[in-house]
Amino acid sequence: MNLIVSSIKGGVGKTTVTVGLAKAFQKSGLRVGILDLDYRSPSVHLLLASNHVELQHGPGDSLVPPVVDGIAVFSTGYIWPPDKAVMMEDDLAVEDVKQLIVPGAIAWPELDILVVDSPPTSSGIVLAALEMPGLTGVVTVTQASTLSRAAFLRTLDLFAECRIPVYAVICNQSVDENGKQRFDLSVADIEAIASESHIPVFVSIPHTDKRDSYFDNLVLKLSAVQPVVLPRKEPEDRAWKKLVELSHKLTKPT
Amino acid sequence: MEEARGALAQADKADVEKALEKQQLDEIVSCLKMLDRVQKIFIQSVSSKDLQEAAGRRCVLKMTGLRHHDIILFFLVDGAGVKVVDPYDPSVANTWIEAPIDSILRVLKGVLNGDESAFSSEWARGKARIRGKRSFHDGWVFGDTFGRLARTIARYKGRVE
Repeated sequence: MNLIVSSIKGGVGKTTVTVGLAKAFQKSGLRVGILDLDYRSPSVHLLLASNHVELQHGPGDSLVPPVVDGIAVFSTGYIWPPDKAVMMEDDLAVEDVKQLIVPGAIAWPELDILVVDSPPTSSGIVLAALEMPGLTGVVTVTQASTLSRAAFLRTLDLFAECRIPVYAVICNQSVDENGKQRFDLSVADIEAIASESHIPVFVSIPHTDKRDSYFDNLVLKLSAVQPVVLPRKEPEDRAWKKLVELSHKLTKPT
Repeated sequence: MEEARGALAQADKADVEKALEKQQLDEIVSCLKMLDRVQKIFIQSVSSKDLQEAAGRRCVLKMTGLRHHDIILFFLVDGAGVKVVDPYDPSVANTWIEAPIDSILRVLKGVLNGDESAFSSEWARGKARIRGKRSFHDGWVFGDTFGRLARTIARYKGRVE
């Protein structure tokens, strides 16, 4: 099962949700991998504090993804120098992504689910990624704001047009821990769109100010552009519980 | 008067072209000298383990953008270093890396200075363009091979300095 985490808007928390989902699936006992297809600006490796890891050459000219905290991870962050802009022409980047999703190009271990982080666009790399063999559906990430709503509608249209099912909408960090609205729209506004679009799962993940909580830790550290080590102790905050809940819903046989 | 101006402009243009031609030849010579230096240091410093680890990895680098010369230089990069291949045998590799001479010079200078990401930087920036059915994989191989060269050279320099 391959899931793409997508939104054509940047900054809504796709990568955080990708890693959170992978952790949640892992907690459910699944064997999980993450493919970071944010080709030009990868950050999954930073979230997992694996930026100093080196890729290995595998059998049949494959690349071996490192296993970080039990999750196999492939990211172009292991290849690009951290201080260099990735400026190559789009056709070359898309060609690389097409090669990466060919079975055997990456020597994944036995996996139950691969979570794919995608870049904030509706063209090129994302369209190439949608051709991925074994792709079952999409989790979209958005926020309850006017700007995010516009991109959310476009994101839904993209997948409707490509006939890829959207499994879930994650309304990310749009309320605080007490349920107070953080942006100019309410979570219910976004939920209504998800409902009208017949998306089976809608989850609002609250923002939290607690320093020791899972998401706060991720967001704070990421904004400081430092490697973040995910806490070994499973955090019991609401955000984490929501993600686990989502993982159960998504992996439940229908 | 107009004709004289035109002739003058033509003469200027010819001078510029000539200067550019000379400049490009100088760059090629500089590149080859640097390549020779990289290779010499590498051969003195490479260990059998390095060679073993890099066995079977080879790519071909084609120097492009030589507008003023009808010269195409091919470099073979493998575990034993970087060398010019002439004549070029297409069967030795199926991936091409096309890079202008200034980009190749930056890579070679970087490698000499022990910069492990010298090649990956040029790749990321779109200066070294990789083409072929396994371009991503081979780009990584190239980057890894240059990285090893840089590391080996840095180790060697550390020993002799």
